[in-house]
Parts: sequence; structure tokens; C-alpha cells
Amino acid sequence: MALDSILIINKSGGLIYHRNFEDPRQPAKESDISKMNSNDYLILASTLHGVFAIATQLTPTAVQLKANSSASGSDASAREMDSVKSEEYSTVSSISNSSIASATGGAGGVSNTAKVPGPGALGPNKAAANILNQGHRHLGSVSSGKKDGNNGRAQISNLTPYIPYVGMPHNNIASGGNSSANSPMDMGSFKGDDFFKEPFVSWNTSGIRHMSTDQFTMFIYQTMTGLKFVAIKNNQVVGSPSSNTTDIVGGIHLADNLLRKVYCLYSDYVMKDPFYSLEMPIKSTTFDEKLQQMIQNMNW
Amino acid sequence: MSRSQSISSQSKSLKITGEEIWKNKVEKVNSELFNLTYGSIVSQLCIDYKRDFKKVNEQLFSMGYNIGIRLIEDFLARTALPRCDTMLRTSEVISKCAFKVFLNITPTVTNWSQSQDTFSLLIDENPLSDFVELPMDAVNQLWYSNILCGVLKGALEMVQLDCDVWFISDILRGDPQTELRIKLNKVLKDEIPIGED
Repeated sequence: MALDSILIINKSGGLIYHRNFEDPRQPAKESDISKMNSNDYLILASTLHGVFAIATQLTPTAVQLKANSSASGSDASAREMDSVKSEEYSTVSSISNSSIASATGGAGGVSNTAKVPGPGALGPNKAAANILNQGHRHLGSVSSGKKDGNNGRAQISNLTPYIPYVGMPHNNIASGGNSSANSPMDMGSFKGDDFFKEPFVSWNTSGIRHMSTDQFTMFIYQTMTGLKFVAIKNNQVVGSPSSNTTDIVGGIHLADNLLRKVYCLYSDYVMKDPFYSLEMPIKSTTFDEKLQQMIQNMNW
Repeated sequence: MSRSQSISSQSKSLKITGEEIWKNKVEKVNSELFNLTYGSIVSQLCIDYKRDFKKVNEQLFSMGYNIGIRLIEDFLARTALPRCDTMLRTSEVISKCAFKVFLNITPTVTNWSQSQDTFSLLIDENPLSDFVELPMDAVNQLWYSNILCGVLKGALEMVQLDCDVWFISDILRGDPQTELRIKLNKVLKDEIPIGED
């Protein structure tokens, strides 16, 4: 576990939750982040909110031009952009493997991914493994596509592949998603062994999604209601793979999967608490525990 | 032609999405428990407000509103559906996903206004009103399921759609069908979270 903190920021830019996680592999070592007090966190949160807003206003001219040309749909890249756009309005379940391929757009990745049959055609065990493979292949093709730098933005922003069992108990993976094996995670109002099983469209299309320094990496997931979930990952933990440019997109997808699950927890344990007032700081021990459990299961 | 085709294929997949989420991703309870709990709330409100059914309607609406502004998070976390570009799409999402996931019914969308901003939901089997018969003095005043209007209003407001929601007929009042009307006042563009294109 190399996740340092989870922050939740409400739509007006106020911090409503922050939590640091101790790393069992690095006991009793004061990291810089633990020196911050709650006021610092409040300032950090509203600064993030502001920087996020500024970032949405700054778009590379190439992307602006592309967005314009996609309206006419003249050249191939424009059509690709178009398909990504239209995906925004199709449902999550309808996004097939082929559209994942079109979203990634990487020349090498497309043919590979398109040949993979839909998960529905296989048994549950095979399907899980298949999705996993497909996920990796997908990530691979994205990062290779990103190197030519043309449509990196469109690729990252729209579709997040489902990565199986992020933050879920590990025995689920070993048993291939067989829920009859002891499933210790209580899913609240959600049924099954994972919160969701489909790739999904990110609502955050032009804001900051990822920030990387030599010390830590930060991921932001924004919901349609304007809530921001922020995960801060420590790069300095022994044994964790160092972040390099090729796994940035993979990291974003992983973080989006995790943070959507945190959102699921939020919708259950915060929204359904009658004594919680909206937009106010979260003081829920159940939410704390569930989150802790999820982060512990997270093998980053 | 292609437009209507794409809309129908979209709504079909919405239907599948809604059904799959309801089937595999939502914990179930006995609906009787739900509907009797609601019944006891309404009857208690009628007592508390001394059978002033206008006030009961208002109270139910505001209770629903408070549920809706929270329930939207549950709905979005569960479905992760993208933002609706038209009211047509919104209506499909409400009937095929939202009602399916939370109440396991699929109301019919109908009676579109000319400007495509107002529509009706026909609720055939209203799970709230099983076992209910309105007393004589309430028949012309009480909207028994008015909490639904509040829920819809609150939830839509949180995704920046400012709507009016009200009942125009109810089987409980002796009407042939239960009809709920939703009117879009405006899209609160300023409040759409930045970061969405």
C-alpha cells in the first residue's frame, strides 16, 4: 500500500474529508505530508479547486482545432474524435471492446484489442482474466499512443476501463470472482463482489486528473455533482514501482477505478447518514473503516 | 432516420443497463416493508397537520427533495452515466434506469410538449400506493406519492437541471392513470462543474 491520503472536496471548494494512511512497510517514519495540519489541508483543497478551474481554461490549440474540425468530420482523426464524443452520450454497457479500441486510437493496440471477444461470451472466471488482460493491453496501447502525442488527451479523458477488484479483498481474484468463497467485504447497498463491472466514462474531461512530482503522485476524480475525490500516492515507498511515463495512464485508470469506489462508499455511508448535513465535513466512523479496508486491499 | 435510430438504440442499451444494475448490483428488500413504512409516514403527517392536506403535500415534497439531493449521488456512483445532452435522454434515464434501480418499475414517457422540455411519466404500478385507499376528505387534495416529485426535483437540481415536478392525476383519486409531469425550467449552466466539456 502506497497510498498516502484521500481527500474529498465539495463543489464549492471546501475540504470535507481528509485522511492519511499509515504504511505498514514504513512504520513510524514522519513523511512530509503528515506534518501538515488541518488548516493546511483546507488551503490545499481550495487551491486545488482553483488550479483545477484554471486548468480547464487552458487548452492546447491543437486540441481546440481538433474539436472544431471534428464538427465537420472531415479527416480520419476528426472522426476518431467524433466517435469519442458520441461515446459520451452512449451508455456504459454499450461501450464494447471495439469502442475501447477506437478510444485508445493507438495504431498498434487497435487490432489486438478488437479481436478480444466480449466478456459476456465467456464464463465468469475466464471473463475476469480476460478483462484483466484486455485492461493491460489497453493501457499498453494508450501509453504507446501517447508517445506520438497527437490524441493523448482524448484517450485519457473519456473512457476508463474497468480494472477488476481494485481495492477489493484479494481472495476474490484468486477464486476468479467466485462470490461463494468467503467474501469479507460488506458492500453496503451494493450487491456482488465488486461495486461495478463495466468500463465507465469519466466526467472530468478538461480538468486536472493527474499531478506528478518526485515525491508523490496525485489523482483527481470529479463527479457530475461537482464533488472531487483526490488520492495522493507516495512514490517513495520501498518496493513500489517507481512512476515512469509509461504507466501514467495506467495509474490514472487505476486511480479512477479506486476513486469511483470511494464515491460508492460515500454515496452509501455519507449520503445515507441522516445526521450528515450536505457540504459539511464528514465525521463518519463507518465510512472511515470502509475506506481504510479498501485502501488496505489496494495493492498499488 | 439515423437520428431516431440512434436514439432508439441508445434507449435500448439504457434499458439493459438499468436492468443489469438492478439485477446484479443492488441489494434488495421486501417492497412491502418499503411501502408500509411510507404509508405510516403519510398517515402520521396527516395526523400531525390535522388533515390539512395541502401542508401534507408540501411536507412530502420537501422530504422528497431532501432525499433526492442525496440519492443522486447513489445513482451516479452506481451507474456512472454521462451527462444527458437533451431532455429526451434525461427522460429515458429517469424511466429506464433511475426508477428501475430504486423502485423496480419502468414508467412510460409520454405527452411531450412542443418544445421538448416537458414530459409525463405514466406510473402504472406505483409501489408506494399498494394497499392504499384515500379517505373521503383526502381524495381531492392529497397527492399520496408526492414524495416522488420532491425526489425528482432534488435529484435533477443536483445535476444542474432546474425542473418543476408535479402530479396531474393519480389512480388513488379515481383517475384512469397516475401521471407525473416534469418541466425543465432551465439548465443551470453556471453551476455545471468546471472540467466537463
